[in-house]
Amino acid sequence: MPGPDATQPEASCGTCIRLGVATRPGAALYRNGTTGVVTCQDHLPKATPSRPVARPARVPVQPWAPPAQTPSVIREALPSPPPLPGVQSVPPPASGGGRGDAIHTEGLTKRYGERTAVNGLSIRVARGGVVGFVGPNGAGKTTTIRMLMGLVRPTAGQATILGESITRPSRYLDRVGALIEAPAFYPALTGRRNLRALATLGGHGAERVDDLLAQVGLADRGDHLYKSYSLGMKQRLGIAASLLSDPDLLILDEPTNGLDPAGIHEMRDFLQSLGKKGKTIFVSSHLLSEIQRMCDRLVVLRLGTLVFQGTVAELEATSTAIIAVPQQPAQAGRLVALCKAAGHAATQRDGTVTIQAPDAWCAELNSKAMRAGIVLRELRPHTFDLEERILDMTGREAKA
Amino acid sequence: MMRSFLSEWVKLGRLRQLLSVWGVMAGLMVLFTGLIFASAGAPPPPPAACSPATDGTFDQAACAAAIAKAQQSAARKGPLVPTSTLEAPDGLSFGLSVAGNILGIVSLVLFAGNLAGEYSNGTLKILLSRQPRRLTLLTGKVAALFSFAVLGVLLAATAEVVTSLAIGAARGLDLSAWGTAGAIGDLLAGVARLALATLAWGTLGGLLAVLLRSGPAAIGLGIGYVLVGEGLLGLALPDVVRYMPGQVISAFVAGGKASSFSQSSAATPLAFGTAALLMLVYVLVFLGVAGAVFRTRDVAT
Ligand SMILES: Nc1ncnc2c1ncn2[C@@H]1O[C@H](COP(=O)(O)OP(=O)(O)OP(=O)(O)O)[C@@H](O)[C@H]1O
Ligand SMILES: [Mg+2]
Repeated sequence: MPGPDATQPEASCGTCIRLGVATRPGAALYRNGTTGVVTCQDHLPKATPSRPVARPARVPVQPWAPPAQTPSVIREALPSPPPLPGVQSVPPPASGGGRGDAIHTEGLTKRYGERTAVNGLSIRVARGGVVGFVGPNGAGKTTTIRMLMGLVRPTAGQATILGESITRPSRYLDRVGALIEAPAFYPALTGRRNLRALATLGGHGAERVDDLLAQVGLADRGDHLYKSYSLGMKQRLGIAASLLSDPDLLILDEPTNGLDPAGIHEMRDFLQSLGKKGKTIFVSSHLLSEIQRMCDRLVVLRLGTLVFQGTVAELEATSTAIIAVPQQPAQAGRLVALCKAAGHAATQRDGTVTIQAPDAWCAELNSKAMRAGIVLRELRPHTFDLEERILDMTGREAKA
Repeated sequence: MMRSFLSEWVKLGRLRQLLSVWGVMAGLMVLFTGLIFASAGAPPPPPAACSPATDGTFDQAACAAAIAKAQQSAARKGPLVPTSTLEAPDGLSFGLSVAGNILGIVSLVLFAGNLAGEYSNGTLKILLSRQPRRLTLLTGKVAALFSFAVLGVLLAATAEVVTSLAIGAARGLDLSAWGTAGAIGDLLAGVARLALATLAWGTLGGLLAVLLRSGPAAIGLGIGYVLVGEGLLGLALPDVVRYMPGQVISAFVAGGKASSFSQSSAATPLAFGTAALLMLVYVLVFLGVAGAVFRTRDVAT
């Protein structure tokens, strides 16, 4: 792919080419000779799948290129993303009021001795759709889920699930299915018998067990002992168990753990189809690419604290910046001042100026720069990919 | 509660589980009964010092000394159980009281292993997501385990009767007294006491499992306490130990008779009524504490 991509900007000199995916910044460089006349806007729509700022929910997000494709040199040279839009971007509840929400927490806190696992978490997850729950190891995802399932008592704060307080799990748990952390079953029982025990306990029909085993692809292994299952098969059984009650709200803690690529794919399709049926799926995962593909909303935690909640589109909208490189590096300082005067935060490094502004501001910046006598050698919008964005929010060091 | 009960039975009702637990209970019963009956014999004649002298006088001190001396040498101790005891009407249920503590330990292991397994397998979180009412879940499970243990006791009692009859007949004992209504009544009462005792042992195991959340720890501590702990306590505080759970349950199983197998012969066993009442109190306390802890404690594993 580098071939055509790299030549295209040259061939269409005078236009602004944008490759949509930020992981290929090298290929997206725009060379405009010396004129500095760029009209990004005119060309954006046909250039690549554009990213509308207010994307309607559940439009499949374009897949991103694997980060490995970005040479590390280029990656390091990338500007750091703009500051976060803030935690306050709460999507409007689908069916008015907190009572209708699938999940609503207020100041939910859990302390284990000195350590605060979850710290004043206030989130609102409206009903319907697939919601991602991300954060690095130890961020407090599982602890939050345990509190929502009535397994762990919050130290402070409160929460409702499907309109019922988590202090009374029996009022809502028959409408909730969950896979919490690793799947857990009786090792000496067959998969089928394990499910039957749970179906009996929950008062679900026995015929459901066979359906579910078939649904998760364990139909022919159902009569084998659970301890003989592979990791992915155990995970599938766990997913089957979470579906026993045909739940309105499905809480899945790292459901893709151990699944093969086909399994992950199936899982994504399955969860999305459930989401379209009006069910709410609250899914945690470390596979950010998966999260981006299957979720339309996100809740991001770091060290037990909420760092973002909102739609994927919102997060993406905050993920754009403009990169401008003056012909003469000495003019970078003036360019920064110019941008700041126009109300956009800007920073410079090694003669490259990063402006936190929507990509549509390219054209205006270009004419402002011209009027100020700054010739731009390079001008392009830059999109941070979501993974980078989330890593940035949750702290890269925690991931390492 | 019913769902929790039935669900537990789905888990228990595997052939291997049935065979292993019930097999162990019946097997131990056969072993103990068999040993008793096989080793039964006529009691040794009293030492010569205990017969009145020709002049009718009786040297009590010399007699006691002679008995003590006889008991020193194993060979002269005589049989474990005199034949006459086994030929009595309650001989038919003798094995039950002898094997009572052992079956109790099996029950303790059953309860403790099962409940602790829910923690160590991590299955408790799934169970609670299907049945969030924790006390309902626990009650159903305990009821299922109890019913499982009771079926084991019935099986063991059958084995005891068959063994007693077979070996008794083979050894030529006079078994005519066993056919009487009194003998059958003793047998049924013995089975009932044994069944209730397995519940008491089981709740002790269950409590330890809920507290320790580990099968090996709960089972080790439970058995250690019963076999060693109360024995040591008996040496130090013989008056107190008879009120301790193990002794109380033993006294209950013995049904008020001074069993020749009571654990610490130093302590006089409790009267049956007292033992029954105390056992009830213990069961309620074990269940109450286990329930309170189970209900409130975080499930974070
Ligand atoms: N039972 C517990 N006792 C003490 N600390 C705990 C307990 N459970 C969790 N923690 C602590 O709470 C914090 C959050 O843990 P949690 O399991 O919720 O993280 P997580 O987001 O699920 O992480 P991961 O991505 O690794 O699954 C961690 O620092 C962890 O050590
Ligand atoms: Mg976790």
